Amino acid sequence: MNELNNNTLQAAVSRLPVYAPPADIWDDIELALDAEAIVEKAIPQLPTYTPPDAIWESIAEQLPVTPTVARRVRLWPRLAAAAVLTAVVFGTWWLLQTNPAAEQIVVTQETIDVLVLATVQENEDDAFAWIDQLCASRAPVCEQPEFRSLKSELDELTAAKQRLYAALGQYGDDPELTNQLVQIEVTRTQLLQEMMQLI
Amino acid sequence: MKKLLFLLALLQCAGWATAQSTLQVVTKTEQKSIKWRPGYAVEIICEKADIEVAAECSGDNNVFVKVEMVARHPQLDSARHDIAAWKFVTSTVGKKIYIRAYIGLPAGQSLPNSNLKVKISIQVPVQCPVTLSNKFGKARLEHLNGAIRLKGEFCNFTLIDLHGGVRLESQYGNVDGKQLTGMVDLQTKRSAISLSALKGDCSVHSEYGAVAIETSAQTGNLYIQSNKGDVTLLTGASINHNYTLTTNYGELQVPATHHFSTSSNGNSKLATLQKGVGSPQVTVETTFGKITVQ
Repeated sequence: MNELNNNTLQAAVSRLPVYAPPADIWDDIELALDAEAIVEKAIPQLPTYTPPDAIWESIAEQLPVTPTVARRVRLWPRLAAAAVLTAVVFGTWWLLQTNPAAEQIVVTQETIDVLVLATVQENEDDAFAWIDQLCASRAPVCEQPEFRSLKSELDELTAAKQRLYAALGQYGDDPELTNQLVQIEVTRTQLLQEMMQLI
Repeated sequence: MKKLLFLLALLQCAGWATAQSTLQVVTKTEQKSIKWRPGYAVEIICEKADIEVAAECSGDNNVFVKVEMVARHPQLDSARHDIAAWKFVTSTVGKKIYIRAYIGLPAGQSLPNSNLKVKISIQVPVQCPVTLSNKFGKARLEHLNGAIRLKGEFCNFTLIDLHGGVRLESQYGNVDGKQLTGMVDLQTKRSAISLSALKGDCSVHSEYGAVAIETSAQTGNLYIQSNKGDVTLLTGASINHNYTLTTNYGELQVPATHHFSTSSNGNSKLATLQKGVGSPQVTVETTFGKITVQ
């Protein structure tokens, strides 16, 4: 990088005053360096003394009670860790006690009841479809009030049977609902017989 | 070689037959505890559920729910896959605690092939009102003092020791009640009703279902309207009520020992009994249904 106004800078530097140090300053510096070396050599040759125990006890009594504070400061992380651990253990226990929402999945086996299964898989009797065809062809009997009332009840039961059939599934694992299916079918059959007598 | 192949084929057939006659049952269980406060009510909305609701005994004001969701299928993989269709959700909105178990499917996903059922056990504080609706299952409620509201289709109800009044609507689901206090209001269609040890007023509107009610000295006013269903009143040794029994196109059978006053007008039959002013009233009206007092 080029120095801008380099000529001006050089001219200003050349105009600064020049000073020379006094001649004895170097001797003073040399003496000071020699003195440090002499002290360092003399220290190992000094005699050593062991102070009496009372001296240390006296010093200890005069010191402020700082060691306890220092220990407390060092214990903080441990106390905090212990508190966190306790909180985690207690919290887990409390969650398990109050809200044990953990899922549990178990696999077992059941034997299919062939009687219930056969009932669920039973085909619709053709006579019911025949009644529908009859009324679709506008047969006069279908306009009779009594027949229409029976047909309306039959249609309601047929719709209920279809809802129940869908809920039952195809494996016959619910004998109680299957029993209700049978009751509906018995009532439908009675209605069918009553309708047949009017034809 | 042919014998070996034949034996292998036989073994395969046997394995296939065994698999077809066995259902793999995958059951997923979940439990939840929900904080309850006085004034809060529980609303249970389910389908294909066997539900039990009872008073919790600890007295710590919690609603505790245990749910067992079940998928049954001959193939274990299918049952495991379909169990995920069950959704169990609880939420508190205002002063209502909702408990829902339903079959939830993402858009476009086909219906599960497995048969799905759920069993729910709920414990509520004894004074907590409960509203319940269920299809294709059953519900049993017992030892509760809060108001009970029930609605079901193909859901049989068993009600025992309830003291806050019961209002029920049921289609294709029978009702069996014992020791009911407070107003009992039943509206049913194609449901059989059996009630005993009633200790309050009771109103029944029934269609295509038999009604059998056991009255006692504690039973209050009783009103039964039945269309195309028989009504049977079991009074025991002594009769404490005033009776007005009317049937159209039906039979009327009363015990000779209690000196009912009977009359008929065309297809209508009437039987009355006055035990005294101020006695509770039993009124029964049927169309195409027989009335029997025993």
